[in-house]
Amino acid sequence: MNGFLYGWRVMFAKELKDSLRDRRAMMVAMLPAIFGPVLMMLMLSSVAKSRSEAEGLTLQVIGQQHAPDLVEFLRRNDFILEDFEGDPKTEIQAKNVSVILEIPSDFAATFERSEPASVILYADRSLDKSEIASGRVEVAIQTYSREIGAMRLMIRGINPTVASAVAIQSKDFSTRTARAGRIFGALQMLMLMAAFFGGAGVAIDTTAGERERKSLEPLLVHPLSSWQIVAGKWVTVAVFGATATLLSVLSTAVALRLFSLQSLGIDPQMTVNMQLSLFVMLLPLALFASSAQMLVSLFGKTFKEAQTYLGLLNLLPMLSVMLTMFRELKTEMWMYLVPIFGQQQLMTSVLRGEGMDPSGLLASVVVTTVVALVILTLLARLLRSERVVYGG
Amino acid sequence: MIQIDNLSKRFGDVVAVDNFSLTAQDGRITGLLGPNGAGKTTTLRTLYGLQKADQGRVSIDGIDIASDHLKAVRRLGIFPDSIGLYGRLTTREHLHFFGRLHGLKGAALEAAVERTRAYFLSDDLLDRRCQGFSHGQQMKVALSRALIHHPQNLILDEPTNGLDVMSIRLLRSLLRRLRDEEGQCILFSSHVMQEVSALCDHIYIMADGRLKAEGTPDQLCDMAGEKNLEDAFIKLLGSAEGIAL
Repeated sequence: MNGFLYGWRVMFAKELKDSLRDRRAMMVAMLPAIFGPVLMMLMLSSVAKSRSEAEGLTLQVIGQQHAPDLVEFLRRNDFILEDFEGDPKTEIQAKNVSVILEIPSDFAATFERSEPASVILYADRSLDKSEIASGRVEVAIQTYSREIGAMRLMIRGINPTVASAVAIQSKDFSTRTARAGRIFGALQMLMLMAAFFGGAGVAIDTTAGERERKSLEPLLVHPLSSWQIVAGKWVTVAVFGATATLLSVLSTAVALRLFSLQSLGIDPQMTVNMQLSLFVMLLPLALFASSAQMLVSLFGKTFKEAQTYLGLLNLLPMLSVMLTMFRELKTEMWMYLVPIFGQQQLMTSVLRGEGMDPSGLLASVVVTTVVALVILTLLARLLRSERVVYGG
Repeated sequence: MIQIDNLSKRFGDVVAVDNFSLTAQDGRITGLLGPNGAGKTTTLRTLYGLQKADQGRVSIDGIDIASDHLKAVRRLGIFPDSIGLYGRLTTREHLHFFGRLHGLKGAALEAAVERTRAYFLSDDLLDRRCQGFSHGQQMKVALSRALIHHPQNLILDEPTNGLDVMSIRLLRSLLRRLRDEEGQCILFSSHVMQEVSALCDHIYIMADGRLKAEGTPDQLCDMAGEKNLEDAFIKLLGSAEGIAL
């Protein structure tokens, strides 16, 4: 008689060999892990670049002659002014210019009467570059407007400070690395998702796929316990999930080295230590993702059906990241107890360079692994149910 | 030896098997004949423990399948309803995998592969991946899978479905050899009369989940009062519906 480990190993070895031969599935699993972080960083750094390009902003102006004083003010504030001729709408939509300021001919007259003289700002605020540029122009014109307003009050013998009731003094305590942590939201999502995407194909193939090609029945008539079968398949799925996770962590580290975010005032780097702690902390997540995916897939009658279910399951990491992106949450102990959410909290603290909370890490590792094992027990039970083996 | 005592199995309101008993002795080929939907496959699935009996008991060489599944299936070679091969594995890798599941290792495993191959696998089939195999080729691999551990008891569910004439003849001579030389207990189901009459020493006729008749071919002919076994089948079944020549 052979022990549990023997049967498990035979099962695992077969599944590993079988899955590795599925080249297409391997590509689908590993390519996003390798290239996802690099592409994401490329995007972020190009955003950073367009932000820095806005430094010495060239501003297209219609009717400079109507407001020489305002024009002079803008020049003093680092704007390079150019006369614009043509239709603002078409030029902006064609992305030839990002922002246009029009000074109407009645500007001077209205200005003289001390009434609000209007200017028109054309922009396409759905574009990052245009949004930033028009924001800067707005701020500059508001400043000019306040200065003139204050002068008018002084001329009338009124202290201009009475016009401002509240003054805000903004003090930003965010450190450079903490700011980087927010930028990292997207990268975090990719690393969390790698644990899921890496094993998804194999999870389906070894459960719903096994049913669809009708190889489950022949397998079950061999002297193997359900636990040996389920555990053999599970470890195979987890190996792929973990590999994708490792690749995405490494790729993120490389991407941070390749593309600089310095123009955003941040320059995060991932040390080898940080990479290692990220991987160790994400390992239980790969275990959890594997068993959850197998459970969900087992309910799919066909490969296609299982794929649909998994698509929904794999949205969970995204959901978790978005929840924290849109609502700043204070890290609390219960968060570590929720798989995915807990890993995300830990990731955030690693990426911020704060180091992981040891009790949080322990809680997250233990709870996530236990949940994975509970799901596995359920799987082993389901595997012997007639409904699962024969469907219907 | 395979023994079924008073087996009953229902799915909702449908009674699939109704108080069915069967004994398949060692050194004999036992046939289970019945039209499609008679309950043959359900009976066999209960035999290899994948469906639980509502009533009755099933044992392999005296080992109860429900209470000691792992021990009982070690003594079973099974060619189930579904072939289900792994398309990315070669025939040899299939045999290695299933042989190992039965505890075969090293030289013993290689010897088992060679013995099984000699039954009816051609050499070129052995190291090709199963993807794209014809139905007949797939059946051969599935049969080899059932025989790799040299089981004392062999259960085959409609084994000749989709096999060409040459392969059917090969299978028949193999089953006879296993019976005569190894004294194996062979139980197979079929809805093809010729198959059963050509091979079986003992025949169980099943319809609507119930036993219609059992006995040696001669006994069945006597029972029906017919000279020809196939006429006897039709008479005993009460109809020729759902069975094939």
